[in-house]
Amino acid sequence: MIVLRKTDLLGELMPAQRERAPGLDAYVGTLRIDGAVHLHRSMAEATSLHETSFFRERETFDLLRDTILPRLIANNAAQRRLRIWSAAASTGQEAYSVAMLLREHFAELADWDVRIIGTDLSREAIEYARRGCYRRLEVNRGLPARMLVKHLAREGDEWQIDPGLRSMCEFTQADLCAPVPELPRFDLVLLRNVLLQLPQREVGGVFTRVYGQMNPNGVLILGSAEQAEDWTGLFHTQPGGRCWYYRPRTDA
Amino acid sequence: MKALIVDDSRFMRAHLRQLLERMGVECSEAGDGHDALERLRAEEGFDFMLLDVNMPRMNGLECVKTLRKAKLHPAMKVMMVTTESDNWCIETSLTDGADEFLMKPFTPESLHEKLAMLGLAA
Repeated sequence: MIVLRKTDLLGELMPAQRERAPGLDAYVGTLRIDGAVHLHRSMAEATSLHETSFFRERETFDLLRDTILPRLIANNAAQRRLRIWSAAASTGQEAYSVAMLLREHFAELADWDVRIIGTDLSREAIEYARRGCYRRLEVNRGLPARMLVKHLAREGDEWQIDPGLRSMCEFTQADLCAPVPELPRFDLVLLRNVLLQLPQREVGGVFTRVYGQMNPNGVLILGSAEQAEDWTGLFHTQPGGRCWYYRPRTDA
Repeated sequence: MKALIVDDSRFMRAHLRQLLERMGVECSEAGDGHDALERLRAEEGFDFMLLDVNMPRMNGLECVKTLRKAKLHPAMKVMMVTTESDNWCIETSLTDGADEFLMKPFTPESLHEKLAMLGLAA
């Protein structure tokens, strides 16, 4: 359980905004009166969780390796193109984990057009993801040592993702609760551990936007504690080992 | 599940023991690589060993190399747990027979995740 104290919350807000509204009550008052979009955005950024790690929920990556990616690769063999969306990318570990998985297990993609696009609400997280440099506590989380030495190079106190993997990934800021920026149609969407952070009234809109960005044969993956079918009729639920995944309904 | 914790720091051994015992693991301790090998020659049934690198008498790299050459406890998993973080040290330990590598300082979650990678935790 995460408890956010008033002082923590204010500490996350931009200094100028703190000056403008000293104290949480005054800040909430400013949000109500002012209604400025940038204030709402910084509030959302301050209250979002950026908990992530390499290969988080390993069973999902097993499902990708054993079932989903082989099927997507077979489906796309004619175009030789794969588009993957890490839709709540945070600081980039998920996108880079997928890149490592592709590099390790799908050598046939070497001459394919593969793009992994990470989006997140937080500008700060996106900047971090673009750098592709991780600290000791981050590379200790979820990343097998064999893969660490193979795919990351030591740079001072940090580890830098291999340039080849970085070139597969791009990161851009996007708010899932607003119209999405210019993005391609995706074959695979990872939307993990973000729905539980959203107000219930926003969830249907997020699913509709994600559905609109997917190829008809695409696959949506949620976090292990999240479900899609309770909220919309847009996706078929499919069992996959110890997880579930979702395919867009063509009759939706 | 039974583990051998090998570290020259009594504090670190106690810390690892506490974390492992919370996971229901039975723990034994050794203060360097030499002690660890003696223990492993004398006692059966270890599922895994947490092994520091920088220790007096015999360091962790020599220890894991000797252990694997002598085929002592061949099914036992070995995870290095050390402040060392050079890719050279990680690669050498994996080549010489370690199964995983955890850098100090670490969080309880990262210890648990690494053990899960080795099939030693759920």
